[in-house]
Amino acid sequence: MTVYLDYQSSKPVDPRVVNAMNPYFNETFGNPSSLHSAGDKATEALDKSRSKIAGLIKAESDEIIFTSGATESNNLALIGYALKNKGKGEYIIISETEHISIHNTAKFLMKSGFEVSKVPVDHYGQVHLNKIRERLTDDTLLVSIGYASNEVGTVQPIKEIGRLCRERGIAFHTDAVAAEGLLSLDVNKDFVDLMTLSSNDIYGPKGLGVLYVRKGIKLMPQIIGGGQENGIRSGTENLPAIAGMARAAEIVMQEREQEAKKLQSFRDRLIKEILENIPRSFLNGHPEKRLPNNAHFRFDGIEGESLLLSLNDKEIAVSTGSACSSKTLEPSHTLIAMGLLHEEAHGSLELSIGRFTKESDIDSVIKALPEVVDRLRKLSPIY
Amino acid sequence: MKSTSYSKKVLDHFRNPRNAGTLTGKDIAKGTVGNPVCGDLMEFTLKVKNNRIQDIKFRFFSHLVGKSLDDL
Repeated sequence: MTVYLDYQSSKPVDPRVVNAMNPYFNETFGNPSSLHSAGDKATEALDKSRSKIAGLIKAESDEIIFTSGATESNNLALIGYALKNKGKGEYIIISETEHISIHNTAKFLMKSGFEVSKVPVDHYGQVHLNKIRERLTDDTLLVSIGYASNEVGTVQPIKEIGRLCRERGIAFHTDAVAAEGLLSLDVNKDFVDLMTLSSNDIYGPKGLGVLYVRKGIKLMPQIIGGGQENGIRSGTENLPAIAGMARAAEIVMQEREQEAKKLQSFRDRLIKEILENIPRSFLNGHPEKRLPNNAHFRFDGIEGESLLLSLNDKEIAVSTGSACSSKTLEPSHTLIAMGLLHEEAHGSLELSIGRFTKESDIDSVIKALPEVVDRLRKLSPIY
Repeated sequence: MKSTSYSKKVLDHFRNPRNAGTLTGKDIAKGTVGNPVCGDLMEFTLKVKNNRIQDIKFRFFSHLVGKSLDDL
């Protein structure tokens, strides 16, 4: 059995979610836009699902827009808001460590005449409020800061950033994908105007995301058609996936606290024992303000892909911020923004755990890792 | 790169490297190629006698380990 410690990349769908999806493939398969009873049944299921998902982030049902995934939600938030509200300004603030879909969408907006500023992060990957405050101008249109780093797990001071933006009358978007299912999310307490969620990140099916859009926030639709989702995102609703995500949200609301506690104890064991057992090993990201499921390390003198392949040989699936794991052949932009040298970033290892991680999985990696690191270091000219 | 996109031979060399290590003693030449900043560095030590290479060993910090070995 493979030991799977790469939950940040992909999560299995919870079997309870699969059961909840099943009726919507060939029993309740109507189109919510149809006027007959089959359409009514679909509308009913759609409404119920929307309301459950809204509950997860303390939003209203009609503030939930379904998309094809977090990437589309991020595109819709940034491009949709920027284009619709161009008159208010043309300055957009993001951070150095945002997900690639935010970085590249911001790059696209720059080509379309908007100005984008990336606030730096500290050594732990945290954004500081004063760094945002000093960049705010009268023509700042939108601030977009991820709730937590999908890579190193550092949690951002979202409520403080949200409050600052609200006071200044600037829209605030947060990509909450890494945090959903692990932290308690509340769009009102956190002063959030736009929030990105993904179905798979709460053990729902892939191919479905959500953009929370606060009442009063106007967006330019990016997908044009029959006017579904309040005209903001056209296309026939993916009802099986939506019903699945609703069930997934329900499970999170019931089990999140208990699950996060379990994950945190696994995470703390990983961090403690790996740092103890392996010399010249370091934790990346914040020691306390980090997601309960993330343990991110770097090891002097070895390269991440060799580490990944060696662990893969022992049937342990992990992730690395090394260059060769990326399409660009650049090391992780998050690690570089945190001030790591390139050769340090190359030696990084991300372990992310989740709902189906067992104590024995933790035992396996704690046992295997020192041997693997030691072997690679013996072959390394820089250790 | 994905582990499955490397050839069997490359992966075999990665798992069971031949000639790994460092040579010491007399008549030793040393060379390095690559740069740890880019994530690939190889170091060779050669034992040369009468203009002939008697022995060779290397160490690496690289994702191209197997590939480099294959080239040898």
